[in-house]
Amino acid sequence: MSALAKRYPMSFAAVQKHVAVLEGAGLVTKERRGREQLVRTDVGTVHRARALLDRIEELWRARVDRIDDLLSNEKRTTGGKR
Amino acid sequence: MSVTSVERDPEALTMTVTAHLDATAERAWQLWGDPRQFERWWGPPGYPVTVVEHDLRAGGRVTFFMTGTGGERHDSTWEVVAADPPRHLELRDADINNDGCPNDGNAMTAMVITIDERSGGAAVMAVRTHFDSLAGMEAVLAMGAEEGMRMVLSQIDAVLAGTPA
Repeated sequence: MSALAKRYPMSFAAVQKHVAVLEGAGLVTKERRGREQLVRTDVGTVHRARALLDRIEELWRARVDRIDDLLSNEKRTTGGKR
Repeated sequence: MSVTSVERDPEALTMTVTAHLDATAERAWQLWGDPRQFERWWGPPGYPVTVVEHDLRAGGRVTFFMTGTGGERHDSTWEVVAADPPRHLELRDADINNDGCPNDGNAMTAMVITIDERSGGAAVMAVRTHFDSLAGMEAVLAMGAEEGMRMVLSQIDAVLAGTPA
């Protein structure tokens, strides 16, 4: 954990906080080895998160398409007025 | 005009979708601010959205439900964290069951919407979604997954009919 914290321009406490959030989300696991606290990325979870983000991205792209349709239909029916 | 960038962070569970819209910032705000407008774009085709409560002020609530093809109902409740029309809106998901009780331990999703206007009146809308867990992401996709399947099916139909999808 301290080795990890050295790599970021933030305090040890701040890194600890970030790790706690990631741990809560199931993205990393912590493991104590002697005096060291090891942080391990859960590759499976990150992979799953990425797959879910793919689908959420599609969802938003479809939403923006509908917004575009809505705005352009409106322009047509109001003769170009906004 | 459409989606210009999608920033994803699979470790922080955030996604920011930025879109350029052929509309003024005020008009873009109405996409959220007018419940009838919102109903027309939020849900996928075939899943009508019905807004029940719509108080888009800080501390207010927005509740709506989507009706699936089998008549199943998906309820959503948002708390309005901040609303500064037409530029800034922050919503926090506070999902409830059909009986109106909060789902205990339910994942919370937050959205921060910013709308900027470029010279010439083109709005740039950015929606940043923050998920607190994978379960929260799956909840968001409950309807989207069906939509994806429908799209696939309609493409198959088109292929079978010998026309380009």
